[in-house]
Amino acid sequence: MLSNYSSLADEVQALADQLFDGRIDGPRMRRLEALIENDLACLQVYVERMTYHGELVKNAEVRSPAQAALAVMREFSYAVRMHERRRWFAQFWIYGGMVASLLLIVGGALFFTGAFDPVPVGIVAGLSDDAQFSSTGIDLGRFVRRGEQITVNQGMISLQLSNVLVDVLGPASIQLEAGDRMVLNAGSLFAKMLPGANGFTVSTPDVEVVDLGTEFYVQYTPVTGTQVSVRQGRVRASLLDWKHAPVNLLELTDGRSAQFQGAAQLVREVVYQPEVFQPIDQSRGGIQRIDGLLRTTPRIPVSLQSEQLQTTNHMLVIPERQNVLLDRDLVIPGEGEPVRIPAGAVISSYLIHYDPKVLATLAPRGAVTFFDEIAAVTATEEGLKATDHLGLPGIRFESNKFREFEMDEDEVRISQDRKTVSFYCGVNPGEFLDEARVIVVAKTKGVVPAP
Amino acid sequence: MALTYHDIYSTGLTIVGNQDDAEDVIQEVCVVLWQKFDEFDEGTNFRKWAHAVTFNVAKAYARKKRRRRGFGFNDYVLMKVSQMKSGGEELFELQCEVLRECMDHLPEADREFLSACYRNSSSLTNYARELGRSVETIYTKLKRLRRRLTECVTRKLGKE
Repeated sequence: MLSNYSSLADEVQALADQLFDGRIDGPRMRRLEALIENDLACLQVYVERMTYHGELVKNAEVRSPAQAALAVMREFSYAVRMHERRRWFAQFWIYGGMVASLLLIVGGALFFTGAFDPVPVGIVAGLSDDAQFSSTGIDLGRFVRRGEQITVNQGMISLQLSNVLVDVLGPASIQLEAGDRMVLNAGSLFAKMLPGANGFTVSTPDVEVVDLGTEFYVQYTPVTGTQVSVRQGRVRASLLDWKHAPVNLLELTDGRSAQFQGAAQLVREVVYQPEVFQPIDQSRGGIQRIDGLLRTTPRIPVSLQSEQLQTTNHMLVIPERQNVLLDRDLVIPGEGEPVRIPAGAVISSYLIHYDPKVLATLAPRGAVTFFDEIAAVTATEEGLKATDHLGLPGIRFESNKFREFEMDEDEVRISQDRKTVSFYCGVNPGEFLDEARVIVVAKTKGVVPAP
Repeated sequence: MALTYHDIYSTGLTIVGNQDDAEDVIQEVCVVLWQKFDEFDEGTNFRKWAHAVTFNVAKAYARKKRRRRGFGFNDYVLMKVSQMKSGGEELFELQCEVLRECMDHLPEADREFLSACYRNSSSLTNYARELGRSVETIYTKLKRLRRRLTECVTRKLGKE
């Protein structure tokens, strides 16, 4: 046994030397790969051998280590100087800005008491990976304020206001008038009231839509006017005249749509097209909020194999099959005891996908909050395979085992109310494909760990 | 920084396996570290950050080379190599210390020969010409010296 190991170690050393010397050919490279892929001891011998060569290169260096590093340091020192300079300017602007803000506040209080009050009315609760805005600084968790205008050049932004979740699909422009009131200047938005809430109002140049507890879609273009579609619940839509006064009122309920044109004073019901909700279902599904370096994606990926849908400095959360009624128990293996979701439960699946590009420089970490409760999070190869059937139809998954999160370094935590799952991927930028799947249950009865 | 320079060189070399390739990688790493320096979180470990960047650059380099040549380590192997390299850091450092001791015990001429080979690995043919020897003769001698050093390291580590 020992001599067998010894001969393999010798072989690995010889092949590693050939690789180092640039004298290895295809068959020998494949042999080396097979040895280190399948045998941990051979892997160690290979790394030892390359470290050994690195040490010999270092010893052969005519320059001292400091001299060798000096050339690199010259490049770094420039970067550091620029960094320090930027920091100094940032501090200057921060302190200067603080003084200026103080003066403005005092001045504002004196001259505009009560009139100047840009209070927060909500937060940015979601962003798609392709989201672009005409202004900078729009990021997850940031407050949005009364009077603020947001122009979405492309992608999607989700805003959590006091009692409604609004998704704005670019290109679009909105203005926040209050926590329950918004103007749609161009483009389209989706609004979903939180349970039990109502009264959210969206206005366009043609119409004022008051929500009466529902989920609806509004699209406005200067050419076609405003289209309102109701997926669930009821809205009251008032056609506006040129003075912005309501002149005609229409109530819309589940599965109905209407077209409004203020200039022509035209209101007509049109065919309800459920596919208008497709972008939001695809991108957000039952996600209430995301935080940190997570993003949604508006595109349905064809393949989730390694390097096919790459991410840089963020993780993607992809809604998969939604509202699936289980006709048999679903057992999900994991690190600990498997989770059993009994037949009859209605589940939705979400995939967390992280496949960094070459120059990932941040360790992704973030959290997803769902409307429903999380039944299971699986990040192991076994668990992912057992639940791949919940993926979108026709999608291809990676078959190699490096797909799973490395749990010794990466952490996945579920909140006490089981609605939020947090992903913390160590301190270093990622290197390879990592995936996890979150199963959310609409009806939580009977979800128990299997014996 | 001097320590980090050699560390990242060693990491790059372990991934790409070849001295010339490792030098290309290090050049690219320097550029990336320079470009991305303002993204470095000062509260975290620079060495770890530099290693992660090195690994990513080296991985991309290895992939490109694999595509060009038609063979090379697959991603899974590259990941295992990276994990082994970072996980066994202390052990490898100990082995390097022992290797340096073994180098000190080599005759002066052998030490010079070894250093010359490692300095000139990309043009061993020229070096062989300078010495008036064939390349194969140079490799044979290099192999013999490597073996001696390996045996010395094994012996010393075994004793310890």
